[in-house]
Amino acid sequence: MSDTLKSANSMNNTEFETLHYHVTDRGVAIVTIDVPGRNVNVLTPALHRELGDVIGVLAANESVVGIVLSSGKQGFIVGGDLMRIVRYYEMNRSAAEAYEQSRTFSRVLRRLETCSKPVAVVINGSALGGGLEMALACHYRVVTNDESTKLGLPEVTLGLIPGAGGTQRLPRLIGLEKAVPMILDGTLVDPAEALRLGIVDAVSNPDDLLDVAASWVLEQGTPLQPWDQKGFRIPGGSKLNDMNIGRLFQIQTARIGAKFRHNYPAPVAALRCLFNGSTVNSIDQGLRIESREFSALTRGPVARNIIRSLFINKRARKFRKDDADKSLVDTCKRVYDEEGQRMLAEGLASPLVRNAAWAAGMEDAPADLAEVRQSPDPMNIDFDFESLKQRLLAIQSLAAAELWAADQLDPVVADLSTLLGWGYPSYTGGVLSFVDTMGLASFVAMCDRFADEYGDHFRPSGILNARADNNESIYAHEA
Amino acid sequence: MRDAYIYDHVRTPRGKGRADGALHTVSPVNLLAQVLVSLRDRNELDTSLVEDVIAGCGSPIGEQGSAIGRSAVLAADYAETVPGQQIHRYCSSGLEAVNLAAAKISSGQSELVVACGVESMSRIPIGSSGGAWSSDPELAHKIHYVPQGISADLIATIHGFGRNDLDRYAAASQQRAAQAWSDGRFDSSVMPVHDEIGRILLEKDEAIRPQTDLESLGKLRPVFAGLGELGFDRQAILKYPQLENIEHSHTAGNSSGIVDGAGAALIGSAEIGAALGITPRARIRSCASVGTDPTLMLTGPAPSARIALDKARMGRSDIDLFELNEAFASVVLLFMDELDIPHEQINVNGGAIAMGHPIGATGVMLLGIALDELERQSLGTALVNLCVGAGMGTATIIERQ
Repeated sequence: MSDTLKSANSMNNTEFETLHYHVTDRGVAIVTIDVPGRNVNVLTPALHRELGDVIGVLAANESVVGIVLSSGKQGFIVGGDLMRIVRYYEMNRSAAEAYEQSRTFSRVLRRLETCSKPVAVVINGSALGGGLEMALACHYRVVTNDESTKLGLPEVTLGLIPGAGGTQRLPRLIGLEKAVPMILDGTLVDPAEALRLGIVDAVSNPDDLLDVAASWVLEQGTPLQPWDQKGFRIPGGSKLNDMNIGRLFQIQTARIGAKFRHNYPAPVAALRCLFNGSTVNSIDQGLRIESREFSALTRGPVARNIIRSLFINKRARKFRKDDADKSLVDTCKRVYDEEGQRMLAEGLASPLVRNAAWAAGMEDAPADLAEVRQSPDPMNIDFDFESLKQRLLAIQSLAAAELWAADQLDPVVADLSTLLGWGYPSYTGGVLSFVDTMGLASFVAMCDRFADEYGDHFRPSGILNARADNNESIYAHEA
Repeated sequence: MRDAYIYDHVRTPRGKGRADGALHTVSPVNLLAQVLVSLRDRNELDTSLVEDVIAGCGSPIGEQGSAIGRSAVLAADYAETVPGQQIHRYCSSGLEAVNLAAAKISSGQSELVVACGVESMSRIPIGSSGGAWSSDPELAHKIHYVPQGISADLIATIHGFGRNDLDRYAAASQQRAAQAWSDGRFDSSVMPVHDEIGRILLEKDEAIRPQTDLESLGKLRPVFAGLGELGFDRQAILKYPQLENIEHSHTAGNSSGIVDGAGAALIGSAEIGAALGITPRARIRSCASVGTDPTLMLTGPAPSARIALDKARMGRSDIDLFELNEAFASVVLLFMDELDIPHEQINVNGGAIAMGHPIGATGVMLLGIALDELERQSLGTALVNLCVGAGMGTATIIERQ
């Protein structure tokens, strides 16, 4: 152990549950995050609270020169507690309540970077989501040279956005253009790329990480972020009086619109955070903008749907693509293809049907559309595009709901099979989450409307009607 | 409401909007001031009688920013008492300046107003002034923003205008513009632009290519296919899902050119004309602007024309001559279809495809071109019209006196 890290009294402070710390002889407080009962560190409400508390304690301690944050586990921190996001949705919180909740950790990290003591962070392994956001709120970042380490903000892939300053600090650190793929697409980077992008200050072998961080605190440590310095400008520019910035936002808006087909609120919310947050002159205001956007996403169904199906249930069941219920997938595909054919029979041109399937988020178009010869009339706008999109999904969900009503289908299996084994769009959470999101009664009513208009194949069965009348729901909902 | 009259108009020739363009060294305020000086001198105008100088400008930022109308008043040595302002409605800013001037006269608020416009596209590139419509993701996402060229291609796709149709129209524009110049039809209204030491920088529109034909146009590559691939095509398809794809058929040859230029018109009441001893050349019959789908964007001309016709209690057949800005060939072809206008009756002296489209100035230039042509052919009425960014159209109907 180097001189920098020597401590005569190596006793750890143990008043906290999720972290502990000791102060070296030269006054560096080494804080080790170690969330109990988990293989990896995740951000829990207890850690949020205790991190805030420990900053307060150390900032007030005159013998502490600076702080080093580190992890007591193999990786650094790999994100938040996803179950909480699902629970928040079920709680049906008010906008104000959701906003206040989303402010909590964001405020802790703001306190961290303005605590008046230099804070370095040792990124000893993957730092994802809130973990990277915590690192971005530190004044100095050193990362392990282990190539399997990943750094990134994958929140959009969960239907969320970074909610603890990621959309504000990353562009202020590396510029909007370089921040775009990480924030809008959740692109992960390895340590070498992180250094090249300017996300970290140094890469080091694992044994020297603590020493490098502590040395920075002792030798250079300045407790001030670039964005808190007077006259700060975002590298590469911001605001629309720079044409390049205007072009960047135009193109990214188009790319996001085309990629997510206006079905996923998170990427465009992230884009708004980048735009509005980089336009305001104060990071505090930027953080508020981000919290507003984040809180809105936690109140909407898409994040809940993606997280519940593709993360929580998938992990719980250890579900893989090969586990998909083949018979259900075949049924969905059949009714979907038939609906496509019906639309053609109604006189709609095949490009329209193909575009409806694409816009609804389906991976593949209904089969055999191209073989039907129907000259599209581009001037003909006698169609209801929203209904077409809805029909192509609803017909599959109806088939699945009937099986569920007859106690022949487990909702988790149905959702995961259609998402992983078929190509039903993930924003819905799967073929039965689609029904669950809308509510069974509303779904049945919609099918009845479609049946009146497009044919009896949309008519729900007596048993499905009965379960809807009974106010049943497909997934159990916590009160 | 009393009538507003056009007493005179003048414009610069249009210089290529690039670093080696003939007008690149002239600042926009200087360019506009030269037009104001010419308008004053041609009419021996006591400028203290001018009650406003309304300047259209498409990128009102930097040296074109902050009420360039007033800056030009001071640069042109108009009376200090003359106020000036700047207005923006994208491509129709110059015509909107005319319409606002007419409104001031008609309402009795003013007797004499200069409506003008300027754009130095070589110095202030198009798009410089940003804007929420195109670049704020919140709005751009919601309304499926696409650049104008994509909209022009979208119109061509929906209405079935092929590359050949567009190129044929473009070739005619070049031939007509060249013919108009060689016949001297523009001579009385285009003034030479001078440099600081009094030498002439430009006397004639610089961008015309009289030798252009279908073959040379056919060799040009579509300009907007690349942009479309970035996501704009799919954004448009989400709104126009009946289309398989967007045919990218507009090129540099069948779209309007990027140029520098300025123009101005003297608008006043009958009373001020009589008092000054100047003769009105045309009466402004009606004005209209209207909003349309922002993604398709460039379909405003027909609805704005219909509103202007209604306001003037006129029908399509009461219009002798049409002047519609050639932003893109598909815009004009669509307008001709919608109002059943034969090619012989519209843009008879060519247009922006040949001579260029100095955004803020084009509207007032078109007004002047239409008026001169009414006089040359001894016709009665003209409808001047532009498609406008963010989905709008602006129209003005004039009647020769």
